[in-house]
Amino acid sequence: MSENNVAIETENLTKTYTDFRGRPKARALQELSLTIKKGEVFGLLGPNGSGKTTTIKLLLGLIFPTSGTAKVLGKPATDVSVKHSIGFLPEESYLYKFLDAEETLEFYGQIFGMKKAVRKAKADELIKRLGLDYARKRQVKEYSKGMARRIGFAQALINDPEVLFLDEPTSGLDPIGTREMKDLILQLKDEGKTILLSSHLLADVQDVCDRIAILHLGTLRKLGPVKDLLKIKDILQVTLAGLDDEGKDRVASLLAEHAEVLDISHPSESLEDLFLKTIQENPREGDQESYRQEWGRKVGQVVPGSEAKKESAEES
Amino acid sequence: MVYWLLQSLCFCILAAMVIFAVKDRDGIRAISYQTWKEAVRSKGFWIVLVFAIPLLFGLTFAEVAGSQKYGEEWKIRNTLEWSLRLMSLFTAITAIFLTSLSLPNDMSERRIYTLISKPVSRWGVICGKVVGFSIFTFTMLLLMALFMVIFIRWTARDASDEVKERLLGSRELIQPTKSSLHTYRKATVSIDLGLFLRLRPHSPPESMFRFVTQTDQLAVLKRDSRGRIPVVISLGRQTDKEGKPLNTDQGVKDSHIVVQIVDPALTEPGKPLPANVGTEMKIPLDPERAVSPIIYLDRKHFVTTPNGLTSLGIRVVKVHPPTRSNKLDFLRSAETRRWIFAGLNKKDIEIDSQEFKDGPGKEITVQCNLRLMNRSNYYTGSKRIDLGFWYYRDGERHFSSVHARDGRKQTFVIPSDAVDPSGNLVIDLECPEGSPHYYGYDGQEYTVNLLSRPRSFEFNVLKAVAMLSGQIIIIVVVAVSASTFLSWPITALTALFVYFCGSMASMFGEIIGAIGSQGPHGAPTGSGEPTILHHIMKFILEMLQVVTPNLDRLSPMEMLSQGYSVTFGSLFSSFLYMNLFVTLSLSVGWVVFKYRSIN
Repeated sequence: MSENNVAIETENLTKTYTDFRGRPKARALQELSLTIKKGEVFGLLGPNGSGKTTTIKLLLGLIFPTSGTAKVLGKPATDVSVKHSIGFLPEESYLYKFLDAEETLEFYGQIFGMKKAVRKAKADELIKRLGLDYARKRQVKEYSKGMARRIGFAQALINDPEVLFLDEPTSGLDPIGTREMKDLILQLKDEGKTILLSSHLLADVQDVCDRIAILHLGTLRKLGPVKDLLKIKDILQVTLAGLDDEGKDRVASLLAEHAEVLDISHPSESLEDLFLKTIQENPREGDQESYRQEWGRKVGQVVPGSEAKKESAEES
Repeated sequence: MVYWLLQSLCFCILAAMVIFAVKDRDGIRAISYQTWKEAVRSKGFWIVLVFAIPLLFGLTFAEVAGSQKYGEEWKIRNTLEWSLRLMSLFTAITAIFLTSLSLPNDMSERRIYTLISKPVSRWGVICGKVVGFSIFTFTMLLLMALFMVIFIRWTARDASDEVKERLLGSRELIQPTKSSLHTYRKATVSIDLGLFLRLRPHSPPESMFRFVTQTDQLAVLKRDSRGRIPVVISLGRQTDKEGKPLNTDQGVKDSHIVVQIVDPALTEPGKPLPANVGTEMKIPLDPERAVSPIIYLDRKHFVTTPNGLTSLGIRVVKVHPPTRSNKLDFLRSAETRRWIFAGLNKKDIEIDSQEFKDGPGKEITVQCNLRLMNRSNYYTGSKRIDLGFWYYRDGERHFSSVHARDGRKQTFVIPSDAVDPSGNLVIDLECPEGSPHYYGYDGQEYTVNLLSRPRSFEFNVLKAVAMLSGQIIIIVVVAVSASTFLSWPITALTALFVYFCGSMASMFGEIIGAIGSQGPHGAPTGSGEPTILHHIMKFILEMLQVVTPNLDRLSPMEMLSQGYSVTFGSLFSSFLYMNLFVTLSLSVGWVVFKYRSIN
């Protein structure tokens, strides 16, 4: 892999936490070697305490490695200049509570040396993009958790970063928020951004990641493309549509001649899909309408109700 | 030498820090602006403000009550001084709590993650906090100063022009710069008696030393085998705030003082004085230390009054090199004494002044000490003395002042053309007829300063604010640096300690003066040769004195309340002092924060 194509690289990255007297207390990460390509969505998976957040902290230069190296865009992770090209969404949105959405984004934009007009325009764009237009003048302390996550995401995008670090991006979000977050990640991927995502919500990772690494007790256990890792090579799944009960029996007996049939049943939709469909069928009043349609447009679905309205508008 | 080396080193370090900070200027600007917002929107600031307003109102009422008792000038002086003290205190408390909380809160609430992941170095974060809080506290000081100026102007609205001029005119205080025994006279005179007993170590220079004892108690004074009392007389040296002598009189030939036996029992006027009163003794002085060798006083120096009280009184009447006046005299009822300052030529004035600007419109101040005296009590408290004070100009007698307060330094302002072409200034002190007491007056501590043009009071307050902000910047820097590795309560306590430990630095200075072979004014202490332990203790205390911040050095209260200008020289020396502690604290904060893992 050419070096120019590498966004994040760690080599034997080890972090051991010590006590006040320098004695080892806990080994959080052990000889992690990873290479993440540019434009990739990479998932760090693992249970609590597996070393996901430690890895991100090391890559952001918040903590220093005990041994090994961590590079982002070819430069050491502690190099301040590399931070012009990265964005970070922490596990919870750690923001100044006395600032409102606009002030928050302007503050972070100012750190990047953006001119006032530019950062104002960028803040405005992100506020709209993340559906916070109605709360732009409210202080962050008044925000719900979902709103705080959105403004947190906005601050991570203020500099239009090449590499994004997302620590538990969907934690604490409702299914709509989760879905929206995942859609946003996919959009960013389409824009060519590299995303390192840490989560223990497996479904989220599965939906958006190209490759994943599974960490456990600070050690890398699995690494590879999601599809490859999830593929069960000795089981074949056949999906058929428009088959009646008689046809189903015939297919089953035909298949039984060649292999052991484990299951023949109707596929079920995911709980997330069911939930979203239910919410869409029972919309809230007022400003939620436009937001719902906007969300529908983003995810490429026709929102029930909006189609009918559109048709009636065309007829008139 | 060591001090200047240290200053140079600190300047170099500070310059390096500034160069590093330039790279992070965007981040520093953003963080300082955000910090400023944080401070303005914090509850703590408003709580302090809520406490400050009633206190200021309370002060106003106290001033009004006080003014009825002590007069207009007292009220204005005190209002000015207390306003400045409260300004300093409130700003310091606000700064301490906001600053101590800021970085620890960022860490505990993990906002620091978001901050450090942006293109700003950790040094930039520290700088941003320091700059933000410094601007905030400076704004706060400016606002309070504005309020204070309005308040003082309002308080002084009915005061006489003389009082207004004296207090609000902010005249330039010109300090002597060249070595002169004059500076000794501005400090203290002390007499060590019997090498064991040091009396009145901080007595004012015009004091008459009176050691009274019953005949049968004379042994207490540690007479030697021949019944003599060994005495060492030392002229106090003018010292800086840390107790170090400012200058010496090395090279002065035949340095000596003349002491006179006086009647310490203060025989009533008209009655014959004991025979030995008035006897003078010439005593050589060590020109550098201004300390006499041991002299022995015996029976012929003691004064025995008719009621059987034996006492010893010594008064310094002359200091050589000759001074302009060393007279301590008594002014009796219906009496006028002429006080002549001779040789007030340009050369003489230059000795004691930093600049000489002669010509019309310039003024001369003559300071003298007036003291009400009677038999029972040497210091009789603050009774008013009615005195006439006259000067001559073109042969005409001019009246300058009518009364003065006992025990207080009185300044008479005389036009410079009152000095005649031969360089003489003639002043008459007049005691009105029928006065119940007679007065001691002393021209020993007069100064002749040519005053520069009075500056504006508001400008002077602005300079005082600049000096006060030096105090606050030290507090802010110490708090920000400490908060990089300490929890907020410990940080706040550290900053509070720094704010209040000025007196501790002074105390170290006093202890250092007391240790070793020399007394506070260079006199032998009689405790023998200093041991190695003395030297170690002295070294430790000297080090402690250097590292203990003394914010009293950045205090303009006294200057302002006395109506003097805050000079650019004092501002510069404040800046130098601030430089030491700011650089030291920032260096510690920088190093700690740079290598600290943010978990």
